[in-house]
Parts: sequence; structure tokens; C-alpha cells
Amino acid sequence: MKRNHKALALLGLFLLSAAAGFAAGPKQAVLNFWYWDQNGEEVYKQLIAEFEKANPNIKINMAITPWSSYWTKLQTALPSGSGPDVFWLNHPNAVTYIPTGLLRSLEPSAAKIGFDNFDKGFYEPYAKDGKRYGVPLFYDSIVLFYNKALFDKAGLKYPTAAWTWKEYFEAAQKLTVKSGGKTVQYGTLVDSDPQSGAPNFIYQNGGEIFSKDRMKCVIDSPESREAVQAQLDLMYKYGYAPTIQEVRESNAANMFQTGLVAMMPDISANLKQYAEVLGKDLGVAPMAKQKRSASVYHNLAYVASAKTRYPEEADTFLAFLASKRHAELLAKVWTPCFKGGTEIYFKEYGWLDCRYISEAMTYGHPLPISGKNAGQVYRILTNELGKIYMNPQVGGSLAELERTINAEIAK
Amino acid sequence: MISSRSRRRWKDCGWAALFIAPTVIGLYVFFIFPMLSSVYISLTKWNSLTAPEFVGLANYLRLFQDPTVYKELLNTVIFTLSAVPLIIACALLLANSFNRSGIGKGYFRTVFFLPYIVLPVVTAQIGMTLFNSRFGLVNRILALAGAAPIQWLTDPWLVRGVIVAICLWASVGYYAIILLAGLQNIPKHYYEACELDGGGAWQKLRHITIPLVTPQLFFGLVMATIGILKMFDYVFIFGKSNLYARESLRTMAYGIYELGFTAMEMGYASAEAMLLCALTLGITIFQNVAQKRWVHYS
Amino acid sequence: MMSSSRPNRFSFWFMALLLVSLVWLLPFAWVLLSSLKTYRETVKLPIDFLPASFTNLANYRELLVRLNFIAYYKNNLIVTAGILLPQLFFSSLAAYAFARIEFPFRDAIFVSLLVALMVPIQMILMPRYNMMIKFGWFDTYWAVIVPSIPSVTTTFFIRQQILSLPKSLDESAYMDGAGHFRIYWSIIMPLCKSALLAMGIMCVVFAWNDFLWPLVVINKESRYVLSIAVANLQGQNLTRDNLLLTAAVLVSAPIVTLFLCLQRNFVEGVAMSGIKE
Repeated sequence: MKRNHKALALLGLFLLSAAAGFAAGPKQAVLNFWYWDQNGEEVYKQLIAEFEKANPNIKINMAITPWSSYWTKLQTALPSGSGPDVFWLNHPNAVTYIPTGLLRSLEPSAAKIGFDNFDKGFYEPYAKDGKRYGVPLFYDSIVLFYNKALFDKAGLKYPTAAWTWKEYFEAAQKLTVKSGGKTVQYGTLVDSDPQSGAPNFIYQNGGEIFSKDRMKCVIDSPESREAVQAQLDLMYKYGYAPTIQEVRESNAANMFQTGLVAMMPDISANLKQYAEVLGKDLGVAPMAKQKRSASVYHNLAYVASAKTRYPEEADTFLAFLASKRHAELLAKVWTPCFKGGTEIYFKEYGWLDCRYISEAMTYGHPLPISGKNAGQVYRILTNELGKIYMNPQVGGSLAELERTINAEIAK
Repeated sequence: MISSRSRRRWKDCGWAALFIAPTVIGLYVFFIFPMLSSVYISLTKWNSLTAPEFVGLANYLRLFQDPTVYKELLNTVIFTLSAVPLIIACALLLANSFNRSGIGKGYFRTVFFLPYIVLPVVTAQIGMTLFNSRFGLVNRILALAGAAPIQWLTDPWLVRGVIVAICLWASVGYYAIILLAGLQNIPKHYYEACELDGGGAWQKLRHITIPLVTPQLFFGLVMATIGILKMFDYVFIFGKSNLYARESLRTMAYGIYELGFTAMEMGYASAEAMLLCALTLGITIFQNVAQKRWVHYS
Repeated sequence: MMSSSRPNRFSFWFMALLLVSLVWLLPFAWVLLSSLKTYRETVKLPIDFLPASFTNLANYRELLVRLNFIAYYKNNLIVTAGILLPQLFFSSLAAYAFARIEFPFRDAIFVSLLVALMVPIQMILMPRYNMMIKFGWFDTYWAVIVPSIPSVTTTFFIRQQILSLPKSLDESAYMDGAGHFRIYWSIIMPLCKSALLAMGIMCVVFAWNDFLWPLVVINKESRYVLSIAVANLQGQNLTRDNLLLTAAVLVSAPIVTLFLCLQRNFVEGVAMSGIKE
């Protein structure tokens, strides 16, 4: 009997404390937020601290997953609803994810988010059938990074916006240093990558990768062939650039940072890292033009899961991620898409000619993404361009690439 | 008496069922059933994000026309045929040396086993920094000898060689210890008798050592084969930002991952997984049948 | 004849092994030395073998502070301990039954388990993940621990060990009416100590190093295990080798130490579970 009383008393106590727990206030909404770049950690720690302070009923759980496993994790988690509520997405994957219905349309909350603060070109890749799914995050373009010390040593003037391929090739020649039959310094570096490499030069020479509606690949043109051949010549004919195999092996960033390569076109997002290592020796210039100026740009976006348990709270968070304060903090690392965000970024890196990063936007060459089967097509483009860059002659390889891609789009 | 014995039999079965239940049920629930469910997935077209669509045997037909799958099959076979015999042979040599080095046995066993306990992803990372053509230790040492830098990581055959070397580095110690266990059981007087008959080192190895460690050799062979057939981590790390390494190294396990999680073709990926399982099962059965001819249990 | 060939042979095998063992240690030395380098030193040409300063612990400090490595060690300990004890207990129980009790379909069941060895993990990721959600284990330690408890290899090894023990040991106890659990617990297990230890170490190694599965089922950063933390050091475009190799040291140090302490017993354990049919 006595024991029973004790048990009852305990039970009562338990119930009471549970009730007290409920009475403590409305339950906190927990939002999972996923991204892939380690460089953002500091920024997000501060952002989230500020957001949680302003919204005590929302808690943000952030998780970094490295690029190489981010998609595996996302693909496994999102359909089950156990994944992130708000997360990073890039353009190729947007084309894959939007039609699945797993992303939440942001139209109902468009006013709260304030899409007017962004250029149309930034949210359009993340829209379909008039519905917007993504809050533009940051963008990058391809610029020419150069090592001022090496230019000074060769007695050369720094690259300017007036440069054409001719000046670029000449400088590359003068910056190439050989010693005992071995190249100890390369003038420049050539990459096959669809973002930082080949397409930039194809566009500069007047070629295109896809048709206007992006439903057809048109890469096989005399302009493209000429552009790719010029790139191959830099490596194989003149030896001003290391072979593509060596670039893959030793890593372009490492070769540039050690001074093994004097100038190279690369993603502007790497600026922070280069600035850290090279300091005042780093220079930024636009890529050389030919028939026109061109630079591939790309922006990421925040998207929300359609299966989120807290749609309203997710909107509140997205609205914060679309705010000026967010842009200010983000500018410590990247170039925010937020109108005026680029200028804040420039202040951070005042000694560099950062304006070329945003100028690239005006040339109008977004990342080459097909209108259908985008992920697969982008993979084919990456792999096949990589193979094409292994041969000294372009030959008929672009025609074959065009056929392969069109077959994939038609699937 | 009889009834009590048979009752005890029944009771034994009950105990046995109880004893094996956690392990057997666990293995079935977490490994074998998920595998069986991918038999069904292999008959569908499924991007894992939306509902699967039944397509019958289409994935299997596609499998046999896919040059990438052939390449992956070929690589898997190349790695198995090169790494497994190499690992086992070196392990035997090592175990034999351990047994004869006299002093330092503990030190050697430790050193050679150590790589086995390193995270495979980390092992691959270490390998990449070692063999990097510009910033790597290997070419740096070769340069001391005046050699030109070698592009280990992009040459199709050299990079395969690097992977085999890493496999060897990572696992030879484990198999050597297993073999050592067998070697230590061989009575010393066998060797002495052989020596009296004028047998040299090779004769001793051929006629005494190998026949007496066949059970351990067999076990090592089976485990190493299964391990190499499933090789994934090294290819994943080496190929992450290096297309040329990826194309030269892609194994079936890697292909399955790429199809399922990059190309989002879960159905087709499952079909390739079935092929890999069939291959593994086939080889294991073959090894088991063949072992009757060369493995001697004392 | 014996006495004349001994010292000669001894020095040959010893010297050869010593030389090869140095090659085997070279990557470890490289990792340790690189962990003391700054990023700039790792991308300097020609590369230096030795770091500029042997007391530059900046990489270690950065990882321990910024990446919360201490918390990940704790998580690894929880997960590893959670897998280790049940795995040894359940596997040895099953091993005992497979080795000593006669029951229908014994061999068929045993062989069917070997299939689990052949399953490529990439393929069962998805079904298993959905299973975890149904069980309500998602994002908890259960999801990492429970599926790793049943083990074919451990069962197999301990069964070998039990098979190598003379049957007379337990048969008389059986005739005296002792129950199976009692025979297992007080007769067989004490004789399997070294095999259990060996398998325990193997189990710890695998639990410590498991990557793909924890990556998928764990979302909360506070529950990350070490292998995930290491993978997170790789950027999309840039990776700092010095940090990566420092992380390699931090991750491996505990199990390497554990192995060094127990290596004698470990080798004996593998040795004693002599492989018999």
C-alpha cells in the first residue's frame, strides 16, 4: 500500500513537471539549415546568433556538409522530410529539384522576403512557371587573378580591361620562365571546367554552348573550335600553361599561390583565399576579350523544403537571409546578390579591383545549364571537355560532344 | 531416457534460436533485406525524389550496352587480380620474415599493422599528398636522385599502381598477422628435416610453409577479394577533383554510388549493384569449390 | 651447419624487414611533419621535408578550438562503446550456437549470413535510412549504433576460436546437465578472451572509422563523429592539406595508442582463433 502511494506521488510529480514544461511557453520551432562551404562558418555563426536573439521562438540548427557528400545527404534526407528546412542550392541542381515538388514555392511569402532587393537575373534560375523558389545568396564570376610580383619581375604592365587575347598571349609568353629545359614558371593556366574554363573563351570568341531556350547544344561552331584550339595551344603548342593533367594533379589554386603560375582565370569566390596567401601581390583584372567580353557567372540561392514542419518560421528565416544585415555579414567572405551588397564586399577588399567581379554580370553569360536533364548534361560537359583538353588538336571533338549532349537532352 | 534426450534436443534448439537471434535478425534487417529491396528498385526508374516507375528488365538490358559499366567491371577485375595476389604474397613473405627475424617481432608486427587502423578516407588523402607530382614527397625524393617529376595521379596505369600500392600498404599487415598465426603452428623439426635433405629456402616455402598455412591463405584470399571488389573510398577521394584519375580508377562500387547519388538513377544503380553482388557471390562460391583441391585442414 | 647459417640468416631477414618497415612508416612521418607546417609551407616549391618550426601547433589549436574536436571525441566514444559491448556479446553467443549446438539449418543459416559481407553499403543506404526514420531513430545515436552491432566477421572469428577448443571441455558439463548459457559464460568465454580482445579491437577500429552511414543519418552538428568532421575540412574548391593531415593525426591518435597498448594481446587473439574448417 505504502509503496503504491509513493509511486502515485512520483507519477503526480512527473505529470506536474511535464505540465510545467508545457506551460513554459509556446514550443520553440527548430529549423535545420544546411550548406556546404566551410568558409561560411564564422559568418553563419554570427548571423544565426543575431537571428535567434531577434526571434527567441525559433532555433536554427546549422550543419555543414562538404560539397562531395552534400548531395548524397540531401537526396537521402529531403524526400523523407527529415532533411533541412532551409538550405543552399546551386543552379544545376535547381533544375533537378524544382520539378520534384520537394521545394516550397516562395510566391505566397514574396512580399515578406522582398524580391525587389535582387536583380531578376539572380532569382530567375531558381524559378519555374512563374513561381520563385530561391532567395539569391551570393554570386561569383570568372576573373583574371594575377601575381603582381611576377609581373614586376618580368617588367610587364598589369593586365587591363583593354586586353584582348593577343596581349594575353604575349604576356603569357613573357611570364613563362624556363630553366635547364624545364618550365619553372608558367605564364598562365588553362582549365577545361565549364565554369572557370572553356565556356568563357568560347563566349569571348562569339560562340555559344546552348541555344537561347537552352534545349539544344550548339557548341560545335568555328568560333568555339577556334577558342578551344587557342586554349590547347597555350598548353601544347607554346607551353605557356601547364598541361591539363598537371592542373588536375597539383591543383590550380596551389600552383597559382606558389607563384608557379603568373596569372589565371578563376572563380572570384577564391579571392579571399588568394588574398590571404599572396597579400598585396594579388591582382584582379577582367579576362581578356576577343570578339566580345565574356565571363561565366553563377549564383547560389537559399531554398526551403516543401515538407518543412514550420513554414511560417522558415519564411521568417528566409526574410532575414534576404535582408541587408545578412548581406553585410556575408560580404566578409562572398559577393552578396543583395542590391548594393557588392559594394560592401568591395570595401572589405579595398586594395583590389573587385568591380570586375560584378561587371561580369553585365556581359550576360550565366553558367551553361541545359533546360532539361541539367545535372546529367552538366556532368557530360565537364567530363567530355576534360577529355578534349587532353589532346593537342580539337579536331571533330566538339561535334561529337554536341551530339552526345543533344541525345541526353532528348531523353 | 529417450524422451528426455529428445526433449533436451528441443530445448537446445530453443537456446540456439535465442543465441543466434540478435545477430541473425540484425544482419537480415540491416543488410540482407535492404539488399533485397534494391532488387525491386533495380526493376524501376527512380530518381529517389519522386515515385518509382516500373520498367521491368530495362535497366539490366542497358547494363550490358553501357561502356562505362564495362570499364568499371574491367577495373574491378584488374584491381582484384592484381591487388589480392600481391597482398597475399607479400603477407606470406612478411609473416615468414617475422617468424625468422629473431628479434623485433613485436615492433615489426606493430609497424606493418598500423596502416590498417587508419580511416580509409584519410589513407587516400595521405596517398594523394604523397604522390602529388609537384608538392608530393615521392617525387621530391626521386628528384634527389635526379629523376624528372612523374605524374602519378593522372597517368591511367600509374594511378592504378598507386591505388594497388595503397591497398598493399594499408592491409598487408593484417593478412600477415593471420598467416603468422598459421606459421607459428608449424613444428620446427619439419624445416630441420627439409634442411637435412638439402632443401633451400624456396623448397621449404614450397613444400612446408605453403601447404601448412593453406587454411589461413584461403581465409585471407576470401576476405581480401571481397574487400577489393567493394573498393570505393580510394576511388572517391582520388577522383573527387581529378577527372583523369576518376576515369582510370572507377570501380563498380564507385559507379553504383555515382549513378545513385550524382546522376540520381537509383534503379539503374541498383541493377549495377546486383551485378556486383552476383560477381562477388560467384567468385566466393568458386573459391569455396576450388579450395577443396588445395586447402588442407590438419 | 645450423650454427653457421643462423646469425647470417637472422641479420638478413632482420635488416630487410627493418628497411621495409621504414618505408611503411614514412607516410606516418610525412603526416606528422606536415601537421606542423603552415599552409604556405605546404605549397612552397621545392617542398621542404621538415616544418620550419617543430613547435608550431597552430593547426592543432585551430582544429581543437574551431571544430570542437573534443565534442566529436566524446561522440565517437559513445558510439564506439555502444557498438563494442553488444557486438562482442551477441556475436559470441551466436558463435557459440553455431559451433556447439546442433539445430536444423545451422549451416545454411550461417552461410546465408556471409551474403551480408558482400552487400555494397552505397546500395542499402536509402532503404536503411527510411527504416531509421520509421524506427524513430533518425538523428540519434541509435541509428549509428544499432545497425553496426550485428557482425559477420566477429561471429565468424569467434566461431573459429570455439571450434578450435576441445569438445571434451564442455561436453562433460553438458552431460552433467549444465545449461547452454552457463557453458557459454563460464567455460567457453574465459577461453576465448584473446579472440574477444582481438575482435574488440577490430570492432573499435571500424566503429571509429565508419563514415558514410553516420554522415547520412546524423544531422545535428553536436552529434557529429570524427570522420565527418575530417571530411568537412574539404572545401568545394580549396582544401588545406596541412589542416587535413593534422585532422588525420587527431582522428587516428586514440586508436593507434589503443593498438600500441594492446598489440601483443591482439596478435595473440588473431593467432589463437586458428582457422579450421
